[in-house]
Amino acid sequence: MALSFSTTNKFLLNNQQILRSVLILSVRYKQRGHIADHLVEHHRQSPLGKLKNGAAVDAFPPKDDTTKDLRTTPHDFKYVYPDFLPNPIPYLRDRILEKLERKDMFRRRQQIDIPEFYVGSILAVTSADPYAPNRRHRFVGICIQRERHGLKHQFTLRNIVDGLGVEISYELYNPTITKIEVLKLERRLDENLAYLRDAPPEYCTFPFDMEPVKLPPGAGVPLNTIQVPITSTHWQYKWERHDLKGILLPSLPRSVRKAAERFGEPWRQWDIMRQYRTEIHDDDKAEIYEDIEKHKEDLAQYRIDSKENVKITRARPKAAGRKAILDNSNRSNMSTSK
Amino acid sequence: MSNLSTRTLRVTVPHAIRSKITGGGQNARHEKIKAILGELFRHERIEGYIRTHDETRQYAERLIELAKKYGDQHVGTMQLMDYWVNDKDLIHKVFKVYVPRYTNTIGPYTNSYRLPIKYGEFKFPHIPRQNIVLEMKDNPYPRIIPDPRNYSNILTNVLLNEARKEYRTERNNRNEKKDK
Repeated sequence: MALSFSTTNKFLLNNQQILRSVLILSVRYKQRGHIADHLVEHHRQSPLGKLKNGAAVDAFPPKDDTTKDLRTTPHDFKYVYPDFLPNPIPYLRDRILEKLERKDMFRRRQQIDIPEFYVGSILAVTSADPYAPNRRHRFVGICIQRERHGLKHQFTLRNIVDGLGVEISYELYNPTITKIEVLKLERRLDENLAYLRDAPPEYCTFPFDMEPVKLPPGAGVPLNTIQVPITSTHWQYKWERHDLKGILLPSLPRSVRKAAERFGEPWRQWDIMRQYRTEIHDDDKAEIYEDIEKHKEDLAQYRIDSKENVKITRARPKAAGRKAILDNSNRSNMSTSK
Repeated sequence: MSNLSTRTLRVTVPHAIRSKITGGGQNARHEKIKAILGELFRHERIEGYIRTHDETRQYAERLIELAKKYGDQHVGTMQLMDYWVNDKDLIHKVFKVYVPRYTNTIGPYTNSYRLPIKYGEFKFPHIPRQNIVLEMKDNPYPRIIPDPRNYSNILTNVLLNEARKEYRTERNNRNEKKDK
């Protein structure tokens, strides 16, 4: 039984994946919506379920396909808003939870501007850090992956700081993130750039004071077709097996190449039912897109700016200010006493 | 190929894919499904083992949904059709016969009915198999489950209707005569 999880590391070998997925399956199967057989039978026999003036063969008359309220989503919706798409595994879906999470995601998007970005874009994320100077920590890096669904949606930025590779995983809807800027908006040929760890350092070094690259208005998202050479002696994963388009592999021994061909599973790209089970379908997408459109309209009406942009006039003095007032009063007391 | 998406299929798609319907690996599985798909599209009603044929049913539904949504000028859809349908005249049939037949309906576009398991008749390996009939909807053959509701065209009813009409007209004539 092959299980597909969008959240697992797809560079791991198959047996590791199966072990993990079997564990999760044994826990999940009992939890989700299981109704006892006698209850199902009871509801099946109930008069409420009987069809009135029913047809003999077809249960319901076929609906007209060309109804006006057939919602359509733009083709690129799943690329622009991957955080809104739920987990495709059916027994892990909870539509009420998804609706509530979406509501929370819209509320967060009122507070800060979450821009459109892709794997391969260079971002600068400012998050609140109580121990940093100015209480803010800014990190610039290239987005190497985007994972999880809904409020848990994460993206990982990679950069090389003082000769050391650093990757920071941020949750997109984390309230301690105060600003997300896209310094360079572009796409790459792959959905996961983890291979940059085995590439020469110049491919993931970005200066922290990088100027944002402005695109002409109305332009599409540019595709960077760069082929990154893999030069490290030890690879984290077997890059030759994963049909990665954005890498330049060194010359490999014949056995390795043959194994990669076998692992590649050329039949997989044609298997429409496997793909069906890993994606969200048009009717669900249409519902989500409707919510997003409504949110965009609401956003135009009311916009609450984040603390960074608005000067806050304090009603109460800050702690340091209060201390200064106290000192002043003490000194004045002392002076009066004198 | 992975960009093409459709509505949710209106056929039961179990979460676990039946990846071992035949020996020989996934390539053999694809070949088996292609063979059954070809038969289904050509003959519009076939019988067979439930495990293979129910799996093929899902593929048939998905292919028809894709054909309906994207049409025959779309490169990705044509490539998929070219892969899944061995006989190329059946690709023509899908776009020219099935898509117009099913434009105003939402799925499922196939019906499946369970056949009785013939106890006592099975040969080696002595394991009775559940067979099903897979058919395309609105096919030209007589229905498998007959429609019991439309009795107006049977002879008795036709004669009775005519007799009833005749009786009424005669009664009206008699009433008119009485009034006069």
